[in-house]
Amino acid sequence: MNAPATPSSASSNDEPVAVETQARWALLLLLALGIKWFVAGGFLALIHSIQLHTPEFLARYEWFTFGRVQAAAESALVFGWVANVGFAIAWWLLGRLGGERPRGAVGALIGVAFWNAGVTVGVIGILAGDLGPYALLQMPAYVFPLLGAAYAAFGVAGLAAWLDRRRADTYAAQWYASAAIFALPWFYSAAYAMLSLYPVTGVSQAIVGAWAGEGLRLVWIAPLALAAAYYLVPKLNGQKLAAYNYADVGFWALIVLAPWVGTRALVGGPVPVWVPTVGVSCTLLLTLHYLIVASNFKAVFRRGSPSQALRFVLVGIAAYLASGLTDTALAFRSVAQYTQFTYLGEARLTLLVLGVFTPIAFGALYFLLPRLTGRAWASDGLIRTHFRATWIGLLILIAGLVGAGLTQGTALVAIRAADGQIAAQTFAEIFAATRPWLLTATLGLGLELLGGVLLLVNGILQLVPASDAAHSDTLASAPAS
Amino acid sequence: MKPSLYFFLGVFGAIALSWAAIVVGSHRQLRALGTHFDPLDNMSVPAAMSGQAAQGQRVYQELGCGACHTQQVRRYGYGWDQNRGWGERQSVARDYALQTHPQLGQARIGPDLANFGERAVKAGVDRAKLYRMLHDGQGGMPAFSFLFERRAIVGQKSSAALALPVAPGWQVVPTSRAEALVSYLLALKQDYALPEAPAAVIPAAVPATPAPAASTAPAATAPAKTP
Ligand code: HEC
Repeated sequence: MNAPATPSSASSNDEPVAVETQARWALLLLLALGIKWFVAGGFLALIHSIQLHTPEFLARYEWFTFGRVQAAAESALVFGWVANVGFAIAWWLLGRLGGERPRGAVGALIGVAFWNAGVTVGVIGILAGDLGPYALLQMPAYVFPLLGAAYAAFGVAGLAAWLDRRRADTYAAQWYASAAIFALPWFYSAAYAMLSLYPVTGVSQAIVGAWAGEGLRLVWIAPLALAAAYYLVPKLNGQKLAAYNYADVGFWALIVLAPWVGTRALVGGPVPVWVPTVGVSCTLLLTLHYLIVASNFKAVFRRGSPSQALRFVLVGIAAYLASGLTDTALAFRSVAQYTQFTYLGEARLTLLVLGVFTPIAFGALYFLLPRLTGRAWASDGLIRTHFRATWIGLLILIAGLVGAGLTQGTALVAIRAADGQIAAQTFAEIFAATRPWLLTATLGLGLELLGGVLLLVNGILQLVPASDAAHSDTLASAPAS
Repeated sequence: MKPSLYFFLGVFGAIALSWAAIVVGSHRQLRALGTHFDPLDNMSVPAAMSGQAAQGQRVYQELGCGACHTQQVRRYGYGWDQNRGWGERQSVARDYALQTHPQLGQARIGPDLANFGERAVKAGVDRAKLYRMLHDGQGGMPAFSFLFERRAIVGQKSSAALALPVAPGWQVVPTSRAEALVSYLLALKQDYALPEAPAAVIPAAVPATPAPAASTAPAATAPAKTP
């Protein structure tokens, strides 16, 4: 893993490898569709964010009623943006590290097309009212067979890239990538079976939902981000990771413990007490994983980086460690009694999807796309601006949601003395108190999405024949920049 | 090939183990939960929902009300659920045993609704007031005006028509979905006694700080026990 440092924004000096030439079209399709979902999902997320502080926004239209927009935004970002781009990165790095020609690229191409059709139907289905009540499992059950078949077609290509590897040594990036590819169908189909095919009744449903939803977060989304991080950091940095020896312990700590933590969300709820207790205990044990990840990447943070792509990745890693820290803090029962059911829940998922995965994926895109298209990025300035928009936007977004969550959490128990009376704050008062924070969150989200638009503009410029006139034309007519 | 096999067995096994223990384990425990027969009242609780209320539960899910409302009361001393008057006892698994679409909910942007039906009766909130609230929205809650339709008055004005300023000859009436939803909301009650969830003894005056959990916890935290 001690490849030479590679420039991020120019077509690089080392030759494209087999996976980049032979799976080019499948990879490009995955990335293009992923970016499309980032735009669509980001747009929905923005509507949701506005509705949080302005409930009447679009409320007249049933398709854009609060609960549906939230579910649609989440599903579009997770199953559109994360699934496509995450898989592309995983497949690509498995191919590069394995050193073998990719198999099943044509099957993958077809599978990807059907997967995206399935997600489209799912998101429209949610807006039409066919939504489930459990986080990350909100797409209607009827898209599952299509998604399952489509995933089989391209997931297999990813696993083949792992099984066919020619090199005996394996790296953390490969473990995380192949585990993630494997975990998505496991959790999703178990949830489908128990919530839709042979539905369990009563609170057993909530237990299935909590187990599978958190499983998807921690054993699918997080490993996809980590795989990219473990691959890109030494690659862009030109140096091996420190404390890499413990990376395997970190990996297995996540895989073995994370599937157990989901039911912590049910603490205090109408389920047998041991169910959330297991979740809380395993969340605390999972700290080991975050500590190892932190020690693996520690040195890179200290050194700083000249590479724009690497800076994106570092933002994602920092967000990942922050998410681990908050997960641990919020797991304690004494804390959870205040923070449960608040905006902090939304902050957690936002942090993982937009804070951890998204910046790392941007970093990977800045590195990977020029290798696939054979053209350098048109503008370094746009990349730098995108980077700033990403981290500043993220900081504002998370601060807004956390501020709203803490305000709400304390207000739900707070008492207010008015003319000697002791009374709980009304919901109208809580709404008024959280509103400034929620407005802040919208601002941050808008900034982060604007950054995504810059990537898009830069990508379009990359495809335009390089003449100065053409550049400025495209820039002038670019939307929303 | 061999190391790959161990690798996948490891990942598969790790997930499978958690699934077997948590999901299947709790399901086996909860499956045995039936209704509770109360010899004093000579009835089984919880009672099954009426057809219209069950339909309303589907509407509730379709509209994503669970994004802002929970339906689960936590034990006295854990949070402020009971101090806020959301229920006189903790919600337990048996309360939901008969529900095919339980709506425990994700967030509390609005109040908990586990006992809304009971609360509504006490506060004199009737169907008409609920229709009006859903039509107009209130505080941080959005309006759901699309659950109502403007219709020409043919013969007599509908008794469910909302008291809204509309053109003469017209009325705004709830759709069947709004009717089902309101029936569901009014049916939300966990007002029966269950052996595993005795009512918490709440001090008459709400104390300035929540009472220490230990004073009431032992009885109230007992899990839904099954053989
Ligand atoms: C954006 C979040 C949000 C959504 C979505 C939402 N509500 Fe509400 N709901 C609230 C808030 C906030 C209040 C408190 C309003 C107040 O008292 O000012 C409330 C109050 C209520 C109340 C009165 C509760 C009481 O104890 O007085 C009922 C009943 C209710 N909502 C039902 C629903 C139903 C049914 C839906 C779905 C169709 C729904 N809500 C969707 C936020 C929401």
